[in-house]
Amino acid sequence: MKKILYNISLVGIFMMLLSSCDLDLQTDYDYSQKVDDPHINMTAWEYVASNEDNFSLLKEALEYTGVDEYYKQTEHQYTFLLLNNTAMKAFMESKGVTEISSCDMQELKNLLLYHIVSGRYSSYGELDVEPRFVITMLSGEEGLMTMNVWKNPWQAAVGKIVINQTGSNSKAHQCKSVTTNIMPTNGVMHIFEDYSYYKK
Amino acid sequence: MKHSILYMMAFLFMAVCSCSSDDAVDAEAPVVQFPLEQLNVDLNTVDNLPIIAVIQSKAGLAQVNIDINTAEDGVIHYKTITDFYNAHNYSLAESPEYKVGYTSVTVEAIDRQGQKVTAEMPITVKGIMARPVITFNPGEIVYDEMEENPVIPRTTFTVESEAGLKSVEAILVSKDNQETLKKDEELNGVDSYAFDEMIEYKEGDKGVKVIAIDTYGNATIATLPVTYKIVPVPVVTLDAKGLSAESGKDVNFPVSVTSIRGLKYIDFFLVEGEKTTLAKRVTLSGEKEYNKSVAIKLTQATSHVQVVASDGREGKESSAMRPVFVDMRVATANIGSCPLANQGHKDYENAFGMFSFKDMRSYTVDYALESADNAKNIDFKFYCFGGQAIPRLYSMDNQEKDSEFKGTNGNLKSIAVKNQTRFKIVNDDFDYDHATVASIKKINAGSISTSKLTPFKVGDIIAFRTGSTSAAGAAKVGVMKVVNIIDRKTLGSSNATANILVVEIKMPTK
Repeated sequence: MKKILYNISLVGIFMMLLSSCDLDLQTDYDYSQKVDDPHINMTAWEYVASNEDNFSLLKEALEYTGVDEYYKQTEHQYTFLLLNNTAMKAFMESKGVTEISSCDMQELKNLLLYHIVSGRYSSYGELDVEPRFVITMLSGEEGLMTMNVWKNPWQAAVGKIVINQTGSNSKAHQCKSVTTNIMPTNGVMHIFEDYSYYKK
Repeated sequence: MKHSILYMMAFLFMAVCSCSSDDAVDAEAPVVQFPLEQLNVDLNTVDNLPIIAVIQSKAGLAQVNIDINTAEDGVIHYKTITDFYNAHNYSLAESPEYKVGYTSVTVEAIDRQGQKVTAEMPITVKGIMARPVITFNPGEIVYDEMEENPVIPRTTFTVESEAGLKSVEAILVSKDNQETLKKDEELNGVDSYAFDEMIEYKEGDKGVKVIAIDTYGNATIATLPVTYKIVPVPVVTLDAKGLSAESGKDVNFPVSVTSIRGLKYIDFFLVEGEKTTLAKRVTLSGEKEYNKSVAIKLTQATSHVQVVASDGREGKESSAMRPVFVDMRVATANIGSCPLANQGHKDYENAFGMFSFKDMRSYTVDYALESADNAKNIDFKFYCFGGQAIPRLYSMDNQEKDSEFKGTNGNLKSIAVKNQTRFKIVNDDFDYDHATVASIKKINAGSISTSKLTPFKVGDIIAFRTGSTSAAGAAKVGVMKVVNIIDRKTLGSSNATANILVVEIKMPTK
């Protein structure tokens, strides 16, 4: 029995050595650039709800104010400027509160409406490097906002979506996205770690 | 035929293929959205918003026209845009030179399919507001003391503001500084403001500066000129030398007063201790000069006469005082110490060692020894002791040092009459400068008991009482002030005890 196993092992080793000596040289390869598909097969609301680690406060705020309807609907295309937990905490800190339910309802609603833009604005040919005014869901002068995309030579900044670039919209607060061009079924999403607001 | 059908099919296929996916067939018309329902422009501010519109077009934009509608000039074509970064989603932000009369803006969007859409947004334009207007009433304040009855008017001004006032500040500007009179910082946009205050201007004031700021921050600064003309006070000139007089009798008191504005009156006050009494008023009618002697009656308590001259301005009188000696002899005398007692000093008149209150001068030892009458006329002698030249006054009956007072034919021990003069230092108890007969009479004569007064110093006030045999009269009380003690160095003497005592003496005559 031992002899049989010994013979089988020798044959196996021989076969392995034989096959390793028979590899072809690696051929030339042409690199072709491509972008990962940014589309996600879900609504903006479903995206927020499924990423509670980052958006638990935003989700709570959307439900608290009723603004979640914009995120859930599919009839219109919006550009959703998602405020992650860092951004939402910064807002609450500026108001001196620690919980969403302690926020002034109207102030919170205005914040969320300000961060929803009518129409699609991704960096795929839909935004210029020059700031352009867009229509937010917050009406009146308080709702004025500009958007643009950075295409400067610095790698760290290139491709960032900028809202209210300094000097483009009175004294509105400038913010830069940390993640861009997520495409839900009802528009485009950009993620921000800070919140913006209009200031005359 | 078969070929024709193939050609037509090929043509249709090419035509369909030539339509890009962007230019959708039968796409919806463009949508023009204004973020603002109405654009409110204020020409008084620099941060007016642009005309903003966002135009979405599924077919893609071909042209956008911007027209401005005005109240008086009809429609003004502002701009046509045909170049779009994103023809499907275009945002315009235009800042025309806004003018009063603009009523609305019309944005016309034409897509590649020729579909036209127009949208209109109302515009209101608030014209440039005038700056605040400050009006002073009166327009100038002049206070001239040369006028008969100058009066400072109330300071009044009004501020009118088309835009509404934010703050008004009134500042009194003087020669050396600026002082805020009133500052109202919370006017909350009122159209007018009134200031009405009584300001007591003073010499050196130049004006009232008013700073009015409207709600736009536009400021108007205006100044109310203030001229405060002052006239120098009258100048009273009196002889500094004391005037001797008798109580109860008129004394002619000479006075010289000048005034630019003109004199209204001159008052003559008798200064009697801490009390002043009006002795006479000379009423005048605007004379520029007054040089006369005025007859006034003095009392034994009068130490000075104060003259007050007025040109009619209250609080701007001027005055001067002159000492008077009523029923009192006042003299300044030199008295030499022992080494100088008989020969005096060439540089100092009558600086001998023997002093006579009757004659208010000093005499030689020879004079004192010459006769009994002369001896009666000598009341005390001056002596300096030792190398320190400690000054002493000796009564004539104290003969401790008489052997050192040598005359031509003997020393003072042989004087025929020895007046028993007594001394006392009264520095703290007596006001020498205001000494009068009345105040000297208050000195307790019995307390003046020292026949040898030592030491004393310059500035001391020494009360004295004459002896019963004194030629000046018995038990006469007076005061003297030690004006100076001239030492031997000044006198050029090698003898340390050679000094000259300088005293001023006040001695009642009644």
